Amino acid sequence: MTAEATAEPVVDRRPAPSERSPRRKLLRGMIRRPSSLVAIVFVLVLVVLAVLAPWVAPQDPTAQDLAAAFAPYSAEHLLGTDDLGRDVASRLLYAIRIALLAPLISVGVALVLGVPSGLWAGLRRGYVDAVLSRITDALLSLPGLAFALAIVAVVGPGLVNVMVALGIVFMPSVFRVVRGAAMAVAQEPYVDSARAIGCSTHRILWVHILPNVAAPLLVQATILMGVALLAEAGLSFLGLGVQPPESSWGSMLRTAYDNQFEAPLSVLPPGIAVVLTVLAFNVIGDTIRDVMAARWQR
Amino acid sequence: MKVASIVPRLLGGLVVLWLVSVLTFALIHLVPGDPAQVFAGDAATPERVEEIRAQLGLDQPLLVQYGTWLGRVLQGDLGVSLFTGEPVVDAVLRAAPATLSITLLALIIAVGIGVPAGVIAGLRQGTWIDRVVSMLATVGIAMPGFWVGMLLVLVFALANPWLPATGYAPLSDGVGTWFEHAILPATALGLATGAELARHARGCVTDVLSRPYIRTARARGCGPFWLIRKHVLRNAAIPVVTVLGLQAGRLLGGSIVIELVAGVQGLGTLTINSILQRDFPILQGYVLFAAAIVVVANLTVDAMYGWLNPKVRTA
Repeated sequence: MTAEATAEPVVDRRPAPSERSPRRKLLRGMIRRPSSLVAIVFVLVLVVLAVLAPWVAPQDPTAQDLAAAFAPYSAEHLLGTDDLGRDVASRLLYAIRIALLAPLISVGVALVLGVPSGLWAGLRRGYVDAVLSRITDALLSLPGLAFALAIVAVVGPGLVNVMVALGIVFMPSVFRVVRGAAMAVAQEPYVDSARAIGCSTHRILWVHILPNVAAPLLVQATILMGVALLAEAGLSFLGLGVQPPESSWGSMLRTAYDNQFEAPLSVLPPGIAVVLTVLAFNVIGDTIRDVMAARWQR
Repeated sequence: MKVASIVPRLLGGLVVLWLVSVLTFALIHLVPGDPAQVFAGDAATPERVEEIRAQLGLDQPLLVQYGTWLGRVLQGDLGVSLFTGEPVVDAVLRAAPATLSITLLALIIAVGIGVPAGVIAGLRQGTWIDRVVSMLATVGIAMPGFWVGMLLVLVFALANPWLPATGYAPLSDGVGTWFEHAILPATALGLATGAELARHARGCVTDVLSRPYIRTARARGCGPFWLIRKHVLRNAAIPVVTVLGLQAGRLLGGSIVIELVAGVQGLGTLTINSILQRDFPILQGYVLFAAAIVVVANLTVDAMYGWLNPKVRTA
């Protein structure tokens, strides 16, 4: 933001203003960058595979064949089999569903809790803001995973419980982003003007505030998707998240860990799947931020 | 740093700790159904349920319960484990050294590798070093620490007998033995933080380099060594230190899973067991302890601001 503070003669090098909407510009900016294009395609492929899992999976992910346990990579079992002789490739494929849905639960909960409270605190200020900010500070100063574990201890293990708990843990970061953006927008003259010409609070909120909050919120939500997936993997690894017979990449990592002497390489497929997916979320989030920052800087 | 600027921060920290204490206390009462019954388990006799109810003071009004509980906590009494009967403070203090020493080593690794890598990348913007550091940092953030821990154990302990695969040796066993046991989990734990720090350090350095005062310093003949040491690093350090404060909680949280992988009997193991056994006093003890550590870490960061940035000193 400060990069423009140079003494060079100001030359306007930006292209002529186009009639395109900001949304189209963002999309164009993202597709033009190879890294984010790859990330977007990767996530889209994951979505398609998640939907089509029953048709594309080579085998039934829960079919056990103890005689074929720990089978190496082969044409029949592309990624080998696990301790119960289940096809790892098929299990990996089915687990995409959890890898995509579980973070959506957390991010959804965080948005539902964080957006209204953040808007309220940022626009109304006053003691509500003071109290909410203090509470979120307290939540932020807890180790996130520990706090999520505490909630899980109360409501019991299970994927949905864990992801809702994580959503509550993510709430402060959403609150902060929304509050900050709302505070900044509320000071803009056009908000005063809108109020002066008699726009209702409701209309100001929808037309002026939310669109300006949306961009930083989108960045935060995308990054949180990755954080949520990492946390899901960790908690399912601990046995607190997804419960058998369902499996996620995290619980597959646990199986691999428990059998690391028999099949040491089985830690690779689920782990790589987690890394690539989190990487894709992060690259998308970073790119949205970069494209937006480039727009704000002008 | 002036006393006047420390007092409000200390008070802020105390407020945070108080809120955490309310949340921690509320934990028990958020349990659906009768907490005493839940803790006792489904198979417990009614007598056992009443015993636990009395033991936890659950038969008293809520405010009275909070008052007595907080009073005890302030005196260092966090109750006893519902399972072993061991005082919570003893259990936490017994498990803490392993976790804290691994976390501290992780922090040292993260700062020692992440910050220089980020600074070099920032100074050599656009070169291959910059690209390699940025790529490694992006991948590093995306890796689950416990998975990295598994890979490290696989390579350095199972495939090659260089380091012990699991377990923890206290510092009293000798620094060498401790280090052998702690280095793998600490590396796994510190990786994401190091990557985060590298990204921030790079961003801060590139930002500082674009400031007018850097050009001014160059114009008056400031050599590269002093330029970097006096102007770039000092100004870039502030946001990096902020991130460091935020990482304290992340490291403690991350250690929970990594301890399982590394077979370390630390706070993480204690917490996981307390959750699986619904041993709430232990869990409360952990949450309070962890929050206290994070608050202390943030106060330390605040104090460092004053040292790094003269503008804050007088504020």
